[in-house]
Amino acid sequence: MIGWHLLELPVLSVCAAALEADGVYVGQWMVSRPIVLGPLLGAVLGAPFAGAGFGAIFEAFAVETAPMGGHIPINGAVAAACAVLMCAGPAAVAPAAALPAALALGLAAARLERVLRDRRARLTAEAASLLEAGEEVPWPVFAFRSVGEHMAAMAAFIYVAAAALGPAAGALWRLLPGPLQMGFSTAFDWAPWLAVSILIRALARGR
Amino acid sequence: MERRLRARIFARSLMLQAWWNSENMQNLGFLFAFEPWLERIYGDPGRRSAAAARHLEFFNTQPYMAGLILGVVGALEEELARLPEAGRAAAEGRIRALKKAAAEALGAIGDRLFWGALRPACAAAAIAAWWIFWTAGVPHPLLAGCLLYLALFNASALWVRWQGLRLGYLWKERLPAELARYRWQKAASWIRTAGLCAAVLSALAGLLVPPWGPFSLWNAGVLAGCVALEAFGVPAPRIYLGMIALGSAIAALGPA
Repeated sequence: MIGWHLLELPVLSVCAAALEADGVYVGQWMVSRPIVLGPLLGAVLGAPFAGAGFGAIFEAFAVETAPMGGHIPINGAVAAACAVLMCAGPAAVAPAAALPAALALGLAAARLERVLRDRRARLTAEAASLLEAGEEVPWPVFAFRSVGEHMAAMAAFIYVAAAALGPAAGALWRLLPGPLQMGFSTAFDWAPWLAVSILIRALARGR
Repeated sequence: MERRLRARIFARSLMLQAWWNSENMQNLGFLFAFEPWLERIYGDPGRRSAAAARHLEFFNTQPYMAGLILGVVGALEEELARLPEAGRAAAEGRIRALKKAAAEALGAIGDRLFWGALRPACAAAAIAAWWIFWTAGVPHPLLAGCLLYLALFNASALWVRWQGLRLGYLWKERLPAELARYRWQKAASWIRTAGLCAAVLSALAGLLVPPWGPFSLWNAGVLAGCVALEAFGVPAPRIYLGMIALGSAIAALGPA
């Protein structure tokens, strides 16, 4: 358990945050998509099918809204990473509990993203004053302050989510009344059908 | 357009959104990608800084379509550098207007093509591939499906990014007319149709192949219900909450 919290989880959180940065900041090669990140993380943790299941579900949830303009949809990469880490980690949270918890975490990560983007606006003013003074823009420093800050924030977010909220979700799950537990379990069992129906709807619309 | 310069701008354009901010969106990313071109055009550091400052204004487009805009702006900036002092203000205004209009138009095309069509279609293809690879006994079916997703998406996205630079440079102000020749809507429609086939195949495989198969009316009913609710525009989170409520109600009211 100590090895998990001090070594494995920090490394996995940083790796997940590095892959997540692809979604907006570097490349957009789609390695940040839940359908890719989920199975990869699941394979590393020895739970490829759980990873694929969560990946497909969060991919569908994230595919509904496009990142157009200033709109920040649910962070599917963070949601999938948190769900897989919570389930496949030592906390072994029930998948039916991990799914809603990770959904909420994906929405919270989108809020965090908004704060980071607002903070980054000051870089334009700094670049403008540097150019006005006839100096070059120090791009590596700027990249560190933008992408580095984002990755650090997301890695910390994923770490805290998996290390603290995972066991909390597990404990809460055990306290839930039986019928409500059954309701979450039913929703989890049906989630793949919802995921497929979202994809069908997304692809059938406006053809 | 020199291949070396094109490669540098292409590589830098992968960081187009690295400084994404709420106020000016991709402005810093555009400047970062465009800087090698400014270095080549303007030998004088003062003129280069002034040109760079002009490109710090608001910029936002679909990232895969940015190559076209970088190409157009580069070509027009080269023309601007050759103009006498008197004609530069008008040319700068022209570049600014074209950059803004192209960013909006290409943003709309790119959003529809990549976010609205290719991304869900690739996801559906990856899920269908998981089923096919799984039943065919292909080793590491999940990894193979993920690789298929990445290959399908990136082949088109990287091609548009790379070719966009060259085409934008060639087309310059003819960009809107040249773009109209490409049947973007038709392409998006074809991609969506192919993706829809993959999604339906995934749904059928889910109904027929273990772990959910063999076919059960119950699973088919759940799928049909989800599709119907989606068709009526009910958001997915609400459907999910409804599932929890329904499952809880069944458990509470059903036999112990």
